Parts: sequence; C-alpha cells; structure tokens
Amino acid sequence: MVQTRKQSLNTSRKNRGKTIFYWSILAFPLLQFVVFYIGVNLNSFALAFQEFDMYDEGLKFVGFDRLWTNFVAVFQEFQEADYLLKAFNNSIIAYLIGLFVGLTLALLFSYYLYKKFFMSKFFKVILFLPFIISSIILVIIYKYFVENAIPAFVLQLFGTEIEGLLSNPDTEFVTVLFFSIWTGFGIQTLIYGSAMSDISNDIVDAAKIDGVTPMREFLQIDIPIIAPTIAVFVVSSTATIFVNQMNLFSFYGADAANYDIWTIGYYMYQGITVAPLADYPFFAAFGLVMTMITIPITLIVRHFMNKLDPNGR
Amino acid sequence: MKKRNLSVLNVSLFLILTVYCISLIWPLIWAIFTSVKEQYDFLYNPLGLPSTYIFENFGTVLEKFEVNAIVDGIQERHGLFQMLVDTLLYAGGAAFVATLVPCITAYATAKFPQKKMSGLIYAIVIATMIIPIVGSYPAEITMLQNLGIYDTLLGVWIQKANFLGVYFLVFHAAFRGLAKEYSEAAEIDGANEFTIMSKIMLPLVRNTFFTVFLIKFVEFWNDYQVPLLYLPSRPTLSFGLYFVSNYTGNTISTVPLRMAGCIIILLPILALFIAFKEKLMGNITMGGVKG
Amino acid sequence: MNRKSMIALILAMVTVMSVLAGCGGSGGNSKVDSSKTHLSVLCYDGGIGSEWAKNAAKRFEEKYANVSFEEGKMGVVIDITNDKLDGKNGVTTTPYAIWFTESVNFNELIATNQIVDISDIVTGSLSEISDGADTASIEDKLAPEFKEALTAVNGSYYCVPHYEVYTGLVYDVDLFDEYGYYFSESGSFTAVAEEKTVGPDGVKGTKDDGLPSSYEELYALMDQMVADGVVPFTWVGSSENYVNDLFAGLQVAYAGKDEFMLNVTFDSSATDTQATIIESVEGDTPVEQKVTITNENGYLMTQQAGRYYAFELMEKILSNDSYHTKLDKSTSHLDTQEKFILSNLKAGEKPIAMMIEGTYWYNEATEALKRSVNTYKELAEGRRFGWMPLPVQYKGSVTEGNGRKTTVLETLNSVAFINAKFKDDAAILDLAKKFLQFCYTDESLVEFSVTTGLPKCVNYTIPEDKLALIDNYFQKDILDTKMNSDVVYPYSDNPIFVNDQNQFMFNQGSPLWAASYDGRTSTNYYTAFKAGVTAKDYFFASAMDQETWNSRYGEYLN
Repeated sequence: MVQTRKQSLNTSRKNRGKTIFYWSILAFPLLQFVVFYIGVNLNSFALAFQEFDMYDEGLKFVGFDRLWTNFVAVFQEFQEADYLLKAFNNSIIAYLIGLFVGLTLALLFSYYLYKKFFMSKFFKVILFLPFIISSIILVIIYKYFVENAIPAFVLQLFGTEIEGLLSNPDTEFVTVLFFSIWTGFGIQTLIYGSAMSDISNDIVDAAKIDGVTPMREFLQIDIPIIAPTIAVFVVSSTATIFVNQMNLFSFYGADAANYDIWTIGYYMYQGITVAPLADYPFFAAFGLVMTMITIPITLIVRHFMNKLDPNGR
Repeated sequence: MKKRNLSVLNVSLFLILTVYCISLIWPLIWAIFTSVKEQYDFLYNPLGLPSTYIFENFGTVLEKFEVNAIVDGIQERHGLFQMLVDTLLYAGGAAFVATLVPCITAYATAKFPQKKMSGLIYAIVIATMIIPIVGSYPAEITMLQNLGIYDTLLGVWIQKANFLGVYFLVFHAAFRGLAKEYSEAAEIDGANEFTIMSKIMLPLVRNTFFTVFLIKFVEFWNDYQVPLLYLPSRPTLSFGLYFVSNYTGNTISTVPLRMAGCIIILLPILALFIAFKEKLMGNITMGGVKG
Repeated sequence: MNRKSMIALILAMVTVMSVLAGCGGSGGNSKVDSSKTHLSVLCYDGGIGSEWAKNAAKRFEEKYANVSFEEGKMGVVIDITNDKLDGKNGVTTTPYAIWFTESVNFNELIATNQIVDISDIVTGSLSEISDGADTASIEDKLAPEFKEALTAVNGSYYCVPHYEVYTGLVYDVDLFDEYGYYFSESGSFTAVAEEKTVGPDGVKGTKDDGLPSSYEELYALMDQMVADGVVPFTWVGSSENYVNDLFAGLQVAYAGKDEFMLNVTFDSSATDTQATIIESVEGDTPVEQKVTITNENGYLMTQQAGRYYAFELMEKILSNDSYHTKLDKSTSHLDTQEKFILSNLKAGEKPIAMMIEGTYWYNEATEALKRSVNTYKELAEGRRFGWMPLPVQYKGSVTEGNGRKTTVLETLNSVAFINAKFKDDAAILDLAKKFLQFCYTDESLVEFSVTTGLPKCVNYTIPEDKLALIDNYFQKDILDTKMNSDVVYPYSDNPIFVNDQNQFMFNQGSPLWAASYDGRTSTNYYTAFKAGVTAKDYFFASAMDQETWNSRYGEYLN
C-alpha cells in the first residue's frame, strides 16, 4: 500500500515526539551521571598525575617527564611491601570463597524456597534479616559472640581455654570472612528464588515424568534457566573484587592493626581515611592500577558466564 | 506432604538452613537480653540471662538519645523525633529517586533499543560496576558546594538519583519482557509517550518498583555515612547510633544502653518489613549482562 | 495496589516530604542573635569535652559585650561546635572560623592554603587581650622545638599548639600502697616511704620513689604481682594500636628528651647528644653503642636502645597470659576502663594494677567512675590513680643522683588555627584572632587545665590554689607531671620530617618506628610476638637499612 502524504507526516511527527520523549526522559539521568560520576571521579583520575610539595603550592601536576611517577610508586610498593601482596591474596581468597561457598549456598537455599519445602516461608523471612539489620548492630553482636560466647562454649564442652576467634591471629581472617559470607547471601537467595519461580511448570513436569532426580533437575534444568540472573551477581562481585573490604571497616574502623587480614579494598579505604594529603596521588594511581587489573578479569568472567546462558541472549 | 520432599538433598538443606537461622536469631535474642541488663551485670556476665531486668534502659535511651547537628555552622542537639523525621526524609526521598531514575532510564532504553544512547547507557551501567572508585568524597563535597546544594535534602536526593547499579538491569529486563502490545495499543489510541509511560507501563512494573523502593529504603535507613558526610544539619537515626557508639563522653556509653538504642532503631524497620514482606520479597527477575 | 492508589501514594509521599522538609532541621535558626557578631568555633571534644571552650567564650563575650566588630552590631556570640575533623578533607569548605582539634598535619594545611598566617597574634604581646595581666606573647610560651617546627615552611606562624596528651601507664596508687609494690633499698618490696628506693628520677622524696627504675625491676614487679593474684596490665583489646601507647612512652623514658629528639631532628650536633643504639646481642645481653646522628644515618634511630627494650617488654607481656587481662576485641575502651576501675572493688575479681592508656582516659571514664561510687560508696570514693614514670635503665636499680627527670611524650598533634575561608573577612578575622589569642592568656590556660584536668601544649604555671580546685588525684598528677617533667614535642624543621611527618609520628599506628618487620611493613609486633617471634629477631628485622633510607630521603641528604 502506498503511504499517503498525511500518513507519512503523521509518522514523522510521531517520531519527533518519540525523540523528544526519549531525550527529555534521559536528560536528567545523563546530566546527573556526568556531574556526579564523571565530574567527581575525573578529579581522582587527575590526582593520579599530581604530587604534593610541602614548600610549594601543595598539589600540582607531576610534569610530562615524570608522568608515571605515582604508578611506578605503586609497583614499587607492591615489590617492597609484602603486606600488599598479602592483601591482594586476601581479596582473591575472599572473592573465590564468597563466590563458591556463598553462591552455592544461595542457589541451594533458593531451590529450597522455590520448591516451597518445609518451613520455607519462615526461612525466607530469616534470610532477609541480615539485610534489614544495620551492619553496626550485626558487627557488635558478632564480635561479642566470637570473642566471648564461643570461648565459653569450648571451655564448657571440651574443658580447654581458647582465645577469642578475632583475638587469635590464626583464626581472625576466617572469622571476618565468615561474617561477610554469613550476612551476604540472603538477598541473592531471594532473587534466585524468585527467578526460579518463573520457570515454566511444563519443563519441570516433563522432567519429573522422565524420572529426573531432584539433584539433576536442580543442576541441569533450574540453574541453566536462571543463569542470566546468576551472571549479574557473579559479574558484579568480580567487578568489586578489589573494592570489597570484607566489612573490616565496620569491625575495626581505620585501625585494623593485623595486616595479615587486610584486603586491597580495605587498604585503599583506610589509606584514604588516615593517609596525609601527600599520599592521595599514590592512592589515586593505586585505584587506577586496580581498575586496570579488574577490567580484564571481569570481562573474562562475563564472557564465561555468557557461555553458560543457554538462551545466548 | 508429597513423598519426593524427603530426598537427602532436602533434608540436609533443611538442617543447614535451621543452623543458619539459629545463628541469626541467637544474636538478636542476645541483643534483646543485653538491652535490659544493668551495666555491671553485662560487664561480668556478657552472655548469660540478666540477673535483674532493667527496662528503664529503654526510657533512658528515648530520653537521652541526642546527636549533634550542625546547622549553618551552629551546633544543635537533635533528639529521637527530629532524627526520625530526618531519616524518613532522607531514606524516603533518596529511595524514591534511586528507584525512579533507574526505572525510567531503563524504560527509555528498553523501549528504544535502536538508539545509540540506549546501548551506551547499558554499557555505562556494566562498566561502572567494574570500575572501583577510589574514595572521592572530598571532590563530591566540593561539587555539591559549588552547586549550592551541599548539606541540603535536595542535594542528597540528587546525589542518589543515579541510574547506575544492578536495579537498572532489573527494570531493563522487566520492561523488555513486557508485551509490546500494551504500548502499541495505546499508541493507536493516540496517547503520547509520556501518557503511555506513566499510565500504562509504569503501573505494570509497580511490584518491582515497590520492591526495589523498599530495598533501597532499608539500605538508606541503615546508612550513616552519607548523612555523616553530606548532611551534617540533619543527622539520621543510624548516624545517631554511629555517633553514640563512637564518640566518647556520651551519656549512652554502656553496651546495654547501646543495644537498647539498636533495638529502638531496628523496630520500625522490622515492622515495615513484616508489613510488606510479600512485596519486599516479591518477584524480581534480572536480565543478563550482555550489552 | 491499583494504578490510582499508586499515584495517590506517590503524591501523598511527595506532600509529606515537602511538609516535613519545611519543619526540618535547617529551617530554624531562631537561636541566632543577629544584633551581635557571630564567631563559629570548632572544638573536638573527645576525651576533653567542650566545657573549657564554653567558659572561655563566656568570659570573652562579657569582655567584648560593648564592642562593635561589624557595622550595626554590638557584642559577640561564640558558637561552639563539637565535631571530629582534622582538616584533611578541607578546612575552607567548613563554616568554622577557628579550629581546636587533634591529629593535624599542619604543614599540609599550610601548603594547601587552608589556614591563615597568624604570626601577628603569636608574636604580639598578650597585654591588651588580658587587660595587662599577661605581658608575654604566645611565642614566649612555646617550647623551642615548636618555634622551629611551626615556622619551618615559610617562617610564619599558622597555628598554635592546643592540648597536650601523654600515653603510657596508669597505675592504681591505692593498690600499690596496699600491696606494697615499691622497691626497697634492700631489694625487696615495701610500703614504707623511708625504705623506698629513689625511683627512676634518682631523687629521694619524690612521688616516683620505689617505682621500677629499670626493666629488670619492672619484670620483678610483674612477677610479684602475678604471685599475689594481681593482673599487672590491661589495655583496650579492640585495637592492637593501644599497646603502642605504652611502646612510645617506654622509648621516650629510656632515651630522655635530647636523645629522643634525634628521631625527628637527625642532628646530634644541636644538643651535643649521641644516640644509644643496639648493634648486636651477645647471648642475651644487648650491646649498646653510641653514635652521632646526622641526616645521612637517620635510619640508625630504628636501632635505638629504647626500642629494643620496649620490644622486649612487649614480648614478655604478650607471650604470657598471666601478665595481662584476657585479650578481647569486643571490649571497648570505655568497658576496659570500667573493668580496671572495678577490679579492685568487686569481690572475686582479680585486681588490675596498671592500664595502658592516654592521659585523657579519666575524662572518658566519668560515667564509669560515677557508677562505681554509686555502687561501692566510700570504697570507691577518692580513689587514687597515677601516671607511672617508666624505667630509665635496663638492669639494676637507679642510685641516688643518677636517675633522669621523668620524660613524657606529647602524642596527639593537637593544634588550633584560623580557617583561610575568612582571610578576607576583616571583621571575622579580627574577631577570630582576638578569641584565639584570648585562649592563650595565663588566665585562660589555667582555666583550661582546671576544667579539663589536662595541660595545654605551652609553658605556663598553675598556681597551687587553682590546682586545689581539681577534685581528683589523677588529674592533679597529670598537671604535676606537665610542670615537673621533660615533655618531648616530636617536631622539627628538618625537611625529612616536614615532608614525611606522618612517618615520624609516635601515636597510634605510627608506620615507621613502630610497626614493621623484615624491612617491610608487614606483621606488626603485636601479632608477631603472639605468634612467637622474639623481640631480638623482630628488632633487627624491623630496623631500616641505609638503602631504604637513601631511596626515601636521598634528596635531602648532602
């Protein structure tokens, strides 16, 4: 059918309307992003190329001849200060354990909720509690628990006196890591659970007729179907691998003295909190270096996660 | 109960979940008992039951819970009620914009995927999840001051009104999943785009909207850092809690009193949660992470 | 929920928000008296309170009630705000004209133009502001090391020292008296004043008589306490950094003022003082050696003898549970203080003899002290806690005339300054300068000490009648320590120090001298000793070598 003049005029007016709509909706969000993300972080980007001089002007550009001086300092620090390597390792360990233990438990629990097994409504409410309760409260309570209650129980049960789990340098890291997993997977569980509840009953029923065991159904049907949702969490936790400070700031403020439990995220956070201005350029460069390490890791993980997605969307 | 429910998987999951729940509820009970202890009772018996129950602790906290607010460089003392008002303003407003902005941004980009900006926004969301931000809050304070909105509610609302983060993906998936017919039908009726969005599409995602709003609300309710840094004239309840547990020379200096404070702050949010638990734990599904 | 109710909800919320926003915090500045000139003052009140500032403000307001600083206004109102800020995130972005705060790296603030040149009021006479009572200048009251350090960058004064805090050991004097924990001339313990040894200062009849003058004596005392069922030490377990409070105190006591200053001046020639360092250990005996310190060998200060002995004591304390209370990261400083106070009152508790703390602890423990009196009545009234002079020798006992004046270290880097935001506001700047100067007249200094129980970081004398106004033993003891000891202010104008001040601070968590191992900042000594590393190994492994020193400070060496 041949379009009449009137119709095509209508279409173009409609298109113009759509364009106006599109940009008027996006104007504020984009402006906000430019000001509060790019604007604010440009400054921290610029800091990486500045240095501090007590006798002259404070912060100033390092000059083109020494452009990479702060970055060189970062790599030197990595070579000289073994606590940084330790923190790097801790970040990786926290990430991997969080991923495997946290994700596995979250998936299993969400399966339980999805299948509406015994008491699942109650569990659902409890799983949400750590999110509801402010982290200050949780940390205070947890500290008392591991420092006082556990030693008291061990004494009663086995008759041996042990140190508090945070006081003992050997168990401190595990205890803090446990806390972040313990309080971390509730939301994931709920979201996986609701993603699973969208799975078509036909598929599940068909599987049941084929005599598929619950374990196989879970592994081979449910998980692949909710793979996109899992991917969101895996990718975002990979992206924050060197930002994650494992709640150390809630536990110790800026003075967690045992370097053996530091993560890179905590190192940066406490560095910015307590370091003198003169060290800001170093930390800015440090952040950029970490970003450069994170990006390829995240892209690889994302690529891998996309492969798991059977829909190939 | 059906028989298949009794597989090894289910029973072991049930046991793990039970242990987990106990581990979460126990500390809460500990906090409740501690909140009615006398200070010496607590110091020498931090774990056992109270030897006497001091319910006055709650009265003391309600009466003496005060924080410093700095209004135009002049110090004021804010009590619980003022903190509650400011908390509602901060958490309510910030949660609203932090839900609305990703929602409409996701709507525009999901509706017009062919526009280049849509792809770019999607990429920005993914990219900003990857890039860690080195503490840049001095820069943020300077920015707010230059805009003349530092230490104002409007300022923190605007600050929180970004589309970044995982909930953009949630809304994006939701809008993409919605049948196109809804809006096409409306278009034939001659409705303009704003009408379609506000009258038809947004109501369709109201459950997700409400869930995200509540999640954000809880998050901001428990957040003490933003009020601490950007809103010194309106300290919130969580900031108050942070304040009494970190500043010395305070009348609420004992652990039992602090626990009572914690419980007082916890109660409203717990009530909200119980009232809206279906909504809060409603259906959120997420899109993939492909651009 | 249907569409309409959703919209209604949003509308209702917006309405409620706007109503609430109207009645919220920033609306009512009803307290502002616009007929007077306002001066906004920031006063960090941790462990010290702001009563002193209110008192000074009141006197100031009265003095200037009939003076006009701005056209159309008569008199002054000082608005005091308590906030914990150290200026690092910007002074000029805040509304406070004057800051009284701690943990300040003032050279940084000068370099970033955050604070105002106040040389005129620092060097000018206080005569006018004190109505003739005080003819000196603030500069006259400054210790020489402050004069040098404060003007190191460009010769001008930008700030003045504020309060003075020492860290180390608090001891329960009543308990020491009760158990007779004083060394006697014969080598045993005694409670009889005449039998006591001369103590670390080597002078008979002073308050340190009978207290351990050497590490050897301190160890003997610790063992005696354990034998008596007394716990020698407690400290705040929630942060390992608290043990540094003692670590720094020990080093300064052993080195004495002139020698300890080499840690920041790197210049033996100024006071003709050599550093005592440990080069090697023969068997169990460390071999001391004297060296002349210059910029070139400043790293040798990481081998100073006091550091070795302090490590040794720390190792001893940490490796034996009976020397300290149970370490517990869930116990706050307030609870630790309260348990220390109660330990000697409560039946069935092991008394605790000493607590590692800062001199401000008594202010923090106000509520706990009140509670103890409410519960234990006269038993808890008028208790005597004291500030413990620390050992000055490694072995043996100090003999008469051979001791050292008590030496303490200021650790909080507390200063006062004026916000550069007001540098062009003539009226406020003038007023701010006047009030700042006002706070340093003898009258204000004495009032500060009587109110807070803490000294200001300048030289002044508190008359006996004013000292008598303080109602407790501890704070009197602190002010007495201030007036009758060598106080070390660890500042200098050496560019190495000026450029890297944070590395040379001796307070909690100081990076260079306190917590490094194996030439790297790795395991702190606290963790290391608990894990069985010996003090000797730790000492040598954590000493800095010449190469590292040169790579850091090469540009300042000749």
